[in-house]
Amino acid sequence: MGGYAFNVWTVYLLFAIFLSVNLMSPIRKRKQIMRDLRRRMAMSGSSTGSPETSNDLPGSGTMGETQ
Amino acid sequence: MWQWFHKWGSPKWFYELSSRWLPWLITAMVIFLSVGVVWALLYVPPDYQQGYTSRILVVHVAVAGTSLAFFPIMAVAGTITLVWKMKMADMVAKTVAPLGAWFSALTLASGSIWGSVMWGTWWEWSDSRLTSMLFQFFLLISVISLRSALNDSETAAKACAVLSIVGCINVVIIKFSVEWWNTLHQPSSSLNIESGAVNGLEFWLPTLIMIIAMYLFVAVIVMLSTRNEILQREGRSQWVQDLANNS
Repeated sequence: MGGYAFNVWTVYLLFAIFLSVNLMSPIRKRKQIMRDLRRRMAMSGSSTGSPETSNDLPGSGTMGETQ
Repeated sequence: MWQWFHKWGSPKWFYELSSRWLPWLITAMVIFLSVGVVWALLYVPPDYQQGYTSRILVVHVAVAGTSLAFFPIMAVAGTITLVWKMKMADMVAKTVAPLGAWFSALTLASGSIWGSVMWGTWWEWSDSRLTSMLFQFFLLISVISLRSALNDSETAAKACAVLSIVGCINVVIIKFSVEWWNTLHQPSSSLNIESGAVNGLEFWLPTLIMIIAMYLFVAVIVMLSTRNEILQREGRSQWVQDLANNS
């Protein structure tokens, strides 16, 4: 790279880290969500859920988790 | 037309639509990313002034340009949240912010590494574009922190929406800073088909491919993250429980 190999490869390494972390993160989060959901359903013993909820904003009692 | 607009408000509809679109988007993203990176690393010729550091710019320009889109996206999502109280819009606003922080950070890092060679300095406080981009990074962290501090409630949604709208002022500053002030970061290069210069097509074609790759990347990640958000918030509904049982 004409003497600039360190600089060019560092940027591409950072780019690779940026791409992989941001791709892996939602994939792993989804697996965790599904695991938690299944565990919660198994504990409550019921398989009946409510129909699709309304489109309003969640209040403070919802399952919205902070990141 | 309003019917179409309000369909987007249904988390289940969004989830199903994104399930159909994701394979195409991911394929396109992988193709553009691979072509862009391979082209940049193997085929972009050395610039007559910058040498091979022009290859850094292929990544830097694409990431920097895309990072400017985050506040506008969040502002639109925030406005829809404020006006129509659409849950989906708030979910998108929530998932877009962390990705924006990553983009801004990578812009600063790649630019700094390039600057260490070409400008002889890793940072320059007096430069308008550098400091306004750093400010954008801090603003994105603020949006994320604000949502967390307000426990991701309805108030959080409104507060983040307002902050996102205000943050767009900074995007204008970043964009025009190089024209308004004559400091270190150079103004936009006009597309110039002379070969051998960073203005040539050998540089701009892979950069364009990388820009498209970055927009596809944003679309994929935002879709994946928003789907997670939907699964969490709609965990009590039948369709989500069915999904969990079947996966």
